Order: sequence, then structure tokens, then C-alpha cells
Amino acid sequence: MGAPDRYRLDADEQSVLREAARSPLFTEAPENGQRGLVVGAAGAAREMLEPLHGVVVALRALQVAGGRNVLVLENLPAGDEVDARNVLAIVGGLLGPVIAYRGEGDYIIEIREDPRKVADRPSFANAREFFPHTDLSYVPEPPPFFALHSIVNNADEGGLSVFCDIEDAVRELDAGTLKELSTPQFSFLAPPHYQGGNGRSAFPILVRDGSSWRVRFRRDGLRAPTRAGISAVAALAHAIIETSHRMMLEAGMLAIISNRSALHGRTAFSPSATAEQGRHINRMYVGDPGLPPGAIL
Amino acid sequence: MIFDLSRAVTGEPPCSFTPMDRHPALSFKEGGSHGIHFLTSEIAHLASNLCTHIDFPGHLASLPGPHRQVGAYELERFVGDVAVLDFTAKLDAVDPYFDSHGHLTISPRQSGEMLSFLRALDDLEVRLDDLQDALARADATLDELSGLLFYSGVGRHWTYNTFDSWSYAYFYSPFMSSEACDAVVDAGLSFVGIDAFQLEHPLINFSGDALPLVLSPECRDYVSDKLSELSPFPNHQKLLSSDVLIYENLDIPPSLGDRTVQFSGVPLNLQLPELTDNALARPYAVTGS
Repeated sequence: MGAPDRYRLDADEQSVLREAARSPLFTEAPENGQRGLVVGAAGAAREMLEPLHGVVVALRALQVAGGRNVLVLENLPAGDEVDARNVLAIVGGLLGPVIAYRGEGDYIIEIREDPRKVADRPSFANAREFFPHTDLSYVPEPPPFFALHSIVNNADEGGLSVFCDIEDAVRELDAGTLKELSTPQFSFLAPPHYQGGNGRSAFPILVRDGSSWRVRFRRDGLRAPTRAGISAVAALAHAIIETSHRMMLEAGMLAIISNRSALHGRTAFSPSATAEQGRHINRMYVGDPGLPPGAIL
Repeated sequence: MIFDLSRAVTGEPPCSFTPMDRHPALSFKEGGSHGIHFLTSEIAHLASNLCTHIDFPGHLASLPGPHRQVGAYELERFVGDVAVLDFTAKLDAVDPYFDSHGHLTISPRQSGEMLSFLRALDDLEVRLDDLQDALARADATLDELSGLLFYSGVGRHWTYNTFDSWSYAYFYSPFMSSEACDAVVDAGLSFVGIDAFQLEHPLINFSGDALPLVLSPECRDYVSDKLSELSPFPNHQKLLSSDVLIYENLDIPPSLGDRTVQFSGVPLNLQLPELTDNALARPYAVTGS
């Protein structure tokens, strides 16, 4: 795919967002570690956010099948006085309801390296290369969208983001491969941190949706029951490599991604000397319209 | 004497750069027969390429089938006289870049040093004349052998752990040149083997977004150019397409270097449909003294 579309907030939009982010949108983590989303506060903020109409229009293009699947927002409010979690929640809320998954963790997950995890599968907690994938491939209904807000990221340390439009990858594949990938025969292994159980269901990787394709994919932990099935996965992996785009999600940028039509990943990055200096990206899921804000699935 | 050439399967991750997503898991069942209770174990998630194993033609996704099932191969394919060829001197090209524990001593940020290191990897190549010299040292000729074992010397770095592909000495072994592979194929050898991760140019392991390539455009360009010269896994392609099987992760003792020995490395008689890719084995060598 080519470079993702970008939307740069003007000074007024930034100011509105900065002001809205002053409201507390999350309750502190209670004893079970799950922070709450203050729906009332988010709702109250909504009127304040009307000047962000341009941002909303740009985001809504993500909801059009076959349309934009990655949007990068720039010039967001930042600084010590701005709660980055609130900025993320507000922007995500402009697209749809902020949601979380039972067993996956909080509404906002900090993607940053934990030096103890170096030998594990690639994950939000280590610095390994992460092959392009969709999030929550192992749950029955993965989130349709998610947002990545870059807090600390240094191009000199690696950690480039990798994006792939599934339509581009599919164009590289023959009919037999597409048929295999559309067969509900693939199992995706949940990572160790996921506490929602492993349903062991078999899913298709590709689903035809009108004239577009939906995708569910994660290369590590994936199993197919047949040689033809796993050969099709190998072909898809090659196509993803051939059609991916690398970019630096610089600190302050916020990417909103369609989890059904785009894959995302990262290059490896340098282990950091301190937690403060290391690559840090906040992630949040956004559900389909109709779900209540703050829904936990 | 009998020499065990295998690496033990322990449940710990083998020496690799691919993290294990599932570990072998042992469970037990019981059953009664004739008034006696028997206990039987079952191993889940036992990958067929774990530790010491054989690559069969079905291992390559790009190699068109149909392929023979692992258990359909004749026993003769896995036994016979082999020459154990000592190529440890090839490691002189890269040894200065590693500490005694096998860790690369240059940082991915040291672009110039990393590029020098990547260039040095070409010197690990076992050319046809190297192969012929080694055969002479072992007093062997290809036409009288069933297989060749490459004693690379990196086996001393085998351990049960996962590393970044660029960072650990075990992944930088001597490798066969295209001409050396041709000689093996032309001689009709049944198999080759190595006490290392694989018999390929180590740059093959750099095909993704490894850190040295992300941090250094010069290294990325160099590897990209080299990989475009090499077809994907060329030695695997060349050997397996001619049904020359490949033993990987062998444990070869130094005392077998440049000797001809009797070898056996038989897999289980597994004839499950589509099982054509890999098989675990416990190879051993027998010497006269």
C-alpha cells in the first residue's frame, strides 16, 4: 500500500481537543485492574467536540468498505498538562464507541518493551519484529477499529510501523489460494497475557464482503489442518511482505486503523536503557456504531 | 564406539530465532487390560522440526508435490557410510565478531562494523574445492558414501534458548556453495547433515525487519542486494528437489572430524497423510575404535 492518508489538526481543532481532554474520562483502576470509562463525561464532551467536524469526516471514511483503512492524525495536543489517554479516548470516540475485551486488559494498553520478555512471541511488551497482523485474531469478533497514539518513538532506534492493505495483498494471490484462505480452517493461538480463554474455533483468514475483503490474520501461532491451507498462508505472507508500507509513527501522531481491511506490524527496535526513553505507544479499540460507549466484550 | 549425534528434546525452546508458540506438553492416560492398569503418555505440540531433525522435500512450500510420506522412505535412505568433514577453519572469518559465549560483540547501531561483518559471511562458504580437500582428508570419495556430515564447529554454541537471528553465533555456520550442492546431487547421495541451524548462507536469516537492517540503510541495501542474488533457501531448494535429505541441529563430536563412519538416523515410520516435511530422529555414528 502507499503511504497512509494524513489529517493535520489546525490550531482551533487542537485547542478544542486540548480543552476536552481536561475532563477525566477514565476512573482509576479498581481492585480488578480494569479502569472504567466515564461515559457521562465522554458524552458531555461530545458537544464540545462539534468543531472537530473535519476530523470526524476524515475518520468516517474508515467505515466505508473498500475505502481508507489507515488514517494518521497529526498536530494533536501534547505536553505535560495533557492526559494522552484522554486524547486517545476522545479521538477514538469520534469514530465509534470505545470498547475493551474481557481478558485482554484495559481500555488503553501501553505498548512498550518489558526487557524480561525478549524470548517470547512478538507482543505489545517486547521489542521483537512483529509481522503484519490484525488485532485479536483469536476472538470470535475482533474489533473493527483501533487507534495507536505514539507517545515516545525515536526513528534512530527502529520500531517503524508497517501497514498492509489486504486488497493489495489479495491481488497477488491466485484463485486457489484465495479459496483456501476463505475456508474456516485456521486456528489462532491466544497470547499468554490473554485471559479470555482459547475457544479453539476455526476461522477463515479472508471473508468476502461485497466487493471488498475482510481479513483476520496473525502469522505466529497460526495453524492449518492441511498442507494446502498452510501453503496458502505462506503465499499470503509473501504477498504481505511485497505490498507493505513502512513509516515512522512519530511521537504525537495518532493512527486509526481498520482492523478488518488493514494489517499492521512493526520492525524490531532497540531495547531501551530506561522505561521513559523507550518506544511507547498507547492502543485503544473502537467498536461498531450501536455498541454502548465503554462496552466490554 | 557409538556416538549419539542428537540434541535432546527437553520441552525447552531449541536454539532458534523463532519463538516457540507451543511447547511440547506431556499428559498421561491410563487403561486396564487383563486386570492390570497401564499408564501411557502423550506429547502434544511436538513439532516435527524440533532439535535434531530431518528435512524432507515437503518442507519447502515452493516445491511442488506430491511428496512421499516420511514413513514411506526406505530404511536404506537413512543409514550407511558417511564422511564427517571438518570445516571449523571457516569460522576464522567470523569468530572475531563474537564473544566466547557466542554473542555478537558489535551493536546494530555500529553500521560500518556491521557491514564488515555481513560481508565476511561470504567467507563461510564451502566451495567445491574445499569439499574435495575435506574428502581427501577423510580418505573418502562421494561415490562410496551414503551421505556427508558437515562438522561446522558452531554446535558448541547450541543451547536451549531463543535469540535474535542476527545476534548469535549458532546461526552463522559454514554453508555449501551451489557447486558443492551440485556435486552432492550428482553423486546421488542420500542425505547431508550439519551441527548447525542450517546449511544456507546466514544472510537468508536477515530477510525480514531485523534490527541491524532497520537501523542501517547501508546494511539493508547490502542484504537486499545479496538476497536478490540468492534464490530463497537455495541449498534447501537444490538438495530437496533432488530428494537429498538434510539433517539439522546434529551434535557432532570433534573427534569425528575428517573421518568416515557408519551412520544411522532413522525417523519413526509415520505414514500420516500429508506428513512429508520433517521428522525427528536420533542419529548416531559407529566407529571402529
